[in-house]
Amino acid sequence: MPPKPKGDYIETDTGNKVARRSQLYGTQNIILGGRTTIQPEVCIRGDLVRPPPPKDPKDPKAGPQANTSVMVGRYTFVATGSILRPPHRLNKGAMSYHPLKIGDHTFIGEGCIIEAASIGDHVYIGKGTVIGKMVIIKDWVKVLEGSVLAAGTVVPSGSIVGGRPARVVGEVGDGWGMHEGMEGGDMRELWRSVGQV
Amino acid sequence: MRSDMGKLKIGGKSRAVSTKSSDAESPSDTIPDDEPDSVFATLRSFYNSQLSSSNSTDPLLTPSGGFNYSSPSSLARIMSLYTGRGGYGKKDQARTTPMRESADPSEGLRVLDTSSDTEAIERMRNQGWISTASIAQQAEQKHPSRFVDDLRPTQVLLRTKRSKRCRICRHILVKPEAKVQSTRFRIRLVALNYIPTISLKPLQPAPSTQLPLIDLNALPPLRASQFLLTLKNPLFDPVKITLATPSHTPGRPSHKVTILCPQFDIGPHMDQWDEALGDPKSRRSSKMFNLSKVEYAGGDGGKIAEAGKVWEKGRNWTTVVVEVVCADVTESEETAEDGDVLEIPVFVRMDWEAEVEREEDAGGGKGEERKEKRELAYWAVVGIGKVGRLDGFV
Repeated sequence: MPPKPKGDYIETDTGNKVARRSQLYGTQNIILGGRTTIQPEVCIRGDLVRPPPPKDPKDPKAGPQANTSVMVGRYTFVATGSILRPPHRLNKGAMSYHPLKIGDHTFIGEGCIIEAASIGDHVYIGKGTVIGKMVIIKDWVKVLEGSVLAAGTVVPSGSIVGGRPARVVGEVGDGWGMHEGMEGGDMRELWRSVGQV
Repeated sequence: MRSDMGKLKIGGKSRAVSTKSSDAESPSDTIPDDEPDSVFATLRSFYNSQLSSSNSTDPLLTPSGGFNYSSPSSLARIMSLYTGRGGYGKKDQARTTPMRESADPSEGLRVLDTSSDTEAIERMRNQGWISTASIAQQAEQKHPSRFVDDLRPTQVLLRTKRSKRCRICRHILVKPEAKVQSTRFRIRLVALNYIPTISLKPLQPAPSTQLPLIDLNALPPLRASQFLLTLKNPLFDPVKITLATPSHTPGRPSHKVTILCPQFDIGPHMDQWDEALGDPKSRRSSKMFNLSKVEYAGGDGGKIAEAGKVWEKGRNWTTVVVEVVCADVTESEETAEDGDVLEIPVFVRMDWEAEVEREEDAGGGKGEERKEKRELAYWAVVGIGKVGRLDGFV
């Protein structure tokens, strides 16, 4: 039987579709939540990780410690050319990395640079945005294209942020993200359409 | 009395700034307090005292407009009306001292320190323009701040969760959960859950006829173009739709619009049943109705748009044909804002029978199902594209 033709994407058993041309560093520290899509040219820096606390030799139960640096939620879509990098901060002169956590049903546009501490669920991030270090974006947020979020910004739920430096410019409507295919909506259809000719 | 009250406000004497020493403000002396609020308070009480002492004769010039009957000067004046002789007022007027300015820091005097100015200039010279605060930044601050280092964090206005009611019948439409951390809604009635979704795409002529393809950014004027209007039904009951549109679009330029099939049915939105039955064709057509492979198959085998007939029908969606003849857009209309945009107003009317379950306690038996006729009608605007120039087309 002829071998299966190599597609653009590698599909894992949990349904994650990772492009062959994407660059994932430190894959043992990256957790993809299932049915996520990682498009080509995306760079995920899982190697920037806080070293785990030293194992207590007296404790026999402590197994190999999982040390996550990047956690991506279910049905999240990361578009071409984006960079997901865990943020770092200076703590008493020493630089330490903080894990980057992204929620479910989140859409990250093309060419974004994400260095946030956490991004919530159902967030729509336009293309070309720059999200600074230790930014916290809550759920149901829309980040406009090309906006630059300064380091340490906290964006409350249900707001629209835009501009350089990003400010809250509005609120999403009551019905935002209710239906499939909308911004902030259910992303299952998009995941299903990935990789299909 | 008011000046005394003013002094009491700042604690009898000036506050020591020890509690706020964490700020990088200029180190204050023990007296006076350099806080802008307290400086203002001392100055105000000083001026009040000056006004009351110097303008005792004229009731309009005293603070509080002359109604301050308790001040010693006005008391003396009123008393003199009853007991004094005629020359009282005139003598007093000759002797009034003019109002004076504040003389020392406890009265609110702040001497301009010329060295602080040169200090500021030196600082600006060394640190550069980037270290000064912009006008917008200074406007947000409560105290005068020239440099970025003097800026203090401003209070962030927290947002409120809002619930919404219908203006007419007071029915709750949106009610977020009372818990602060949750973003969910207890009640959320979104219109799209009750109203059909409208989408429109051009009906490209078959390649055999050698007609040019329709470009939504440059629609051909003075020629009929056909579009497929798809309505998707969110309800669980079949719906009868009636569409209406004015034959010419309102406003200028006026385009001619015809809906070839204004009355049609749409099936109910029943996902689970068909998935259980395992019918792949209808499953796909319901979920990806605008990308359905059924429609594109072989260019629809030569389907022609006929008046009174539905173009395509799926499980919970129906497509009809709309024909538009664009008017020729003149130069002036085109340069006006959105003058060349083609939008058609559509009046949608839907009729359906909803199953209303009623429970009967007395006799009759429980769960009596009754079919209730319901109807809904609304106006919608469908945007299509922009009209192209006439000279671009033959």
